Order: sequence, then C-alpha cells, then structure tokens
Amino acid sequence: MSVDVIQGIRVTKTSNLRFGPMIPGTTDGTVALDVTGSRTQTGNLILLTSSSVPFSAANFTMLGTPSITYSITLPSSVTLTRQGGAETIVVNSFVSSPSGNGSLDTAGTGTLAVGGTLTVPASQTPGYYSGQFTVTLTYQ
Amino acid sequence: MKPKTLWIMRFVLVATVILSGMWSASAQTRTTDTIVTSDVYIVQPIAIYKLTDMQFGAIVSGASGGLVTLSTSGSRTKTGTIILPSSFAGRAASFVVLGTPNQTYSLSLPSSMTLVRQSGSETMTVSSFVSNPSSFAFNSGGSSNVSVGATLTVGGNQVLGLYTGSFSVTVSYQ
Amino acid sequence: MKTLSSGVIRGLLGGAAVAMLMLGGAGSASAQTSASANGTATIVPAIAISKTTDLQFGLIVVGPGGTVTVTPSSSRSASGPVILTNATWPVSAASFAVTGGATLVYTISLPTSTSLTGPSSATMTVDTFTSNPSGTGTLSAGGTSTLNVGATITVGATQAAGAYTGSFSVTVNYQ
Repeated sequence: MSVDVIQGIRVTKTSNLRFGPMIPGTTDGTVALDVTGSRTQTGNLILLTSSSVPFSAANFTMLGTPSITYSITLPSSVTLTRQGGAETIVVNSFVSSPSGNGSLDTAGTGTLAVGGTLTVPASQTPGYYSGQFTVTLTYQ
Repeated sequence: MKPKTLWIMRFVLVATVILSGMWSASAQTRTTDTIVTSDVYIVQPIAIYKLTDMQFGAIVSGASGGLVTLSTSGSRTKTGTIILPSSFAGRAASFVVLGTPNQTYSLSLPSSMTLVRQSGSETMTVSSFVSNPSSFAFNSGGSSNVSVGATLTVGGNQVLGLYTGSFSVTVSYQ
Repeated sequence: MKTLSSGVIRGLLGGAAVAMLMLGGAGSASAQTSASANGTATIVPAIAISKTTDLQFGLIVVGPGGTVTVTPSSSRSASGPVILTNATWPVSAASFAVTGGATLVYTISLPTSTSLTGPSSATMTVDTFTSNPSGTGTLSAGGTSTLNVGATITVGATQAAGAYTGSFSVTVNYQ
C-alpha cells in the first residue's frame, strides 16, 4: 500500500529551455524560442536542425489543489557560460504560457511552457553554453 | 448627506480596511521553485560532438587470439580462437557534426588506438577505423551523424580484464 | 558427469550510453572541431563447468514397475515403485558450478537420455532431464552460477536388484 502526498503545487519539469545548434551570422542576431518550442531568428545567423541536438521550450506539468490559482515569476535574464571557458551569452525576454497567472484545472493538473530570446553576437566564441534559472510559482 | 450617515459610512469603510488588512496578514503564500537549465550550441563554422563511445564488449581470447571487427552498426565478427559472448555486445562510436546546411566537409579518423588494461600495463591495438558514411556532407538542417567502427587485435591468452583507451576525430571544410 | 571448457572471469559492463542530449563538451574554442571518444574491451575467461554433486535416485523398491523422478531441487517422486528414505542411499539432484565472465548469459544443453548399468548388465533408462536454471542461465556479478539437474528413471517390474551407476554430460556455452 502506498500514498503520494503533495504539498502545494508539485511542478515536474519535462524539458529544459534549449536553443539547439546555430551558426552566428555576419551581424549580431537573436533567436526567440516561443512557448511552443519554435525558433525565430533576426539577423543572418543560421539555425541548424539535428535530431541529435534538439531544441525545445522549457515545459512543466503541475499537480496540486484543484482550481488553485498561482502567479508565475520568471527571471529578467539568464547568462549561459561556455563549457571549458568563460565566454557568456544572454537569454532574456522570457515568456510563458499561461502568462503572469494561471490555475490548475478541476482535476488539479496543469501545464506551463516557458520561452525566451537568445542574443547571438556575430563573433560569439563557438562551443556549448549552459546556465540555470528558476521559475517560481506563488499561490495561497 | 447627514453627518450621522456619513459617520457610519466612514466607520464601515475603516472597518473594512482593517478587516482586509487582517486577512492579508494571516493569509499564507507559498512558492514552488523549479530550476531550469538553458543551453545552446554555437557552431562556428563547424563542430563535432561525441554521442557514444566505442565498445568491443566481452571477448574470450582463447589460445591463439585473433581479430574482433566492430562494424559501424555495432555488430562484431571474429577470427582465430576468439569467442564473443552475445550478452555483452559491442557498440560503434558515434558523433554528430554540425555546420552549414548542405555543405560537404572532411572527417579524419585515427590510424590506431591503444587500449591499456586497467590496473595493469598490457595493451591491445585497435586499427582499421571505418566510418559510416565514408564521405561527408551536412543535411538541409546542417547536421550529419557519423558512426565509427574498427578492428581489435587480441593476443592468445590475453590477460583478463577491462582495457580502455581513447581516440580523436577531427572535422573541417575542405 | 561433467562437461566443458573453462575459464575464469572478471568481466565488467561497459558504461551507460551517453545521453543523446548531453553531448561531450570540448576544452577550448578550436576543440569544437575535434571530439574524442573512449574505447573499451573486456577480456573474459572461457566458460567452465564442474560437478559438485552427482544425480542420485536413492533406494527404490521394485514391485510395480514405473518411474522415479528427481527434480532439480532434489525432491523425489515415484509412479509405480516404492521409494525409501535411507541414509546410505541419499537423494539429490546433480549440481554443477558454472564459472565465467560476470553477468554473462550461458546456454545449457542437457542429454536426451542415458543408461544406468547394474548387476549382470541389467540397465535402466534415464531421460527427461530437467534443470534449474533451464535453457539459459546468468552468471552472477562474481562470475558464478549453480546449475542443478534432475531426471526420470524407468524401472522395470522385474528390475534386477542391486546398485546401478552411469554418467551423463551437461554442456554450457556463452550465449
């Protein structure tokens, strides 16, 4: 016999915020990753697509009190650092769905997706960059 | 409005405010924090990343030893007195190469790799590296997957144990 | 009652597959154009089997003919003859020690039948060999495995009294 007890809202992350592979352009550019996981660029950078190197919005599933409302706090920016080096690259303009506030359904479940915009300078040092940020849900 | 009425209203208003304040003060707010990773692969102008290591699996050498050939799909064949237990199988090395969509590129394989016995000094040589594909180009997404196999030379009555080593693969446009 | 090749093992498992999503990073800027991979090979001993216990059917009273069965767990049953518990004639399944590379799987080949020979060349057939494990076995993390074997003997209604002996072979191979 077993039981699973939830305190508040339990959030389970199902994917990280991953921009995937890309080749910087001859001018600075940006890559916006929307809440559906689609990438849109500005500038002439080249977005690459590889099944071995996926890109995705950050996705979460939630479990808690039916119909409870919550507010979402996202960072204003996060800095990614190159593995094996010190160079950085910045993500900002975070967006989410739901946006601002949300609520769990009558079964006590919900989902959340988070996107953001990566700024890609033309001269960005090549490599694998990563960083961490926190998504906070506030509720009664 | 009559002063009396006004006074009541004010009283009610003030009372309401006090009550609201009390509700806020006693309401519990809770938070749940979730840590999220964000990452990106900046490719400039070509990059290669390893996906899987090369594994020859379990090998019985027998009195004369022989060769174990690991194909790019990870299947093994042997010569000589070698026995290959199937429950500890082989695995090809694999890499993803990223670069300009539809461009061709070059990939160089090593000529050999030496495996050294852990906690020992005995060695075995790996050579005849092969790749699939054998000529290289990025797909329309700028991605290319490459599998690498090779041939291991096993001595007769090779000392038992785990042997390890490493090899490098280099890519370029030319 | 024994069989097979031999060897001793200290195998070990290759590392877990590198997750597709976490590619090996590189050290410096130019290192993105090179990637290294590990290579591993494990030399394991040939598989070996040795007998620890014989297959013993114990004491059987002939009267009605029939069969006597010993299971791999050494329990005995009879259909026809009477079986007696007797300290001089213990009952046991055959037991073998199998050794080889840790965690490797092996196949087990049992004989179809064999004969026991007794007084004045009287014989009894032994067949329906069974084993535990059955079909295949798996060596432990220490590279060992115990293989127990049972069988059924057919006793004639007028089977000559006396001691009957014989032998059989069990073969194991890496799968």
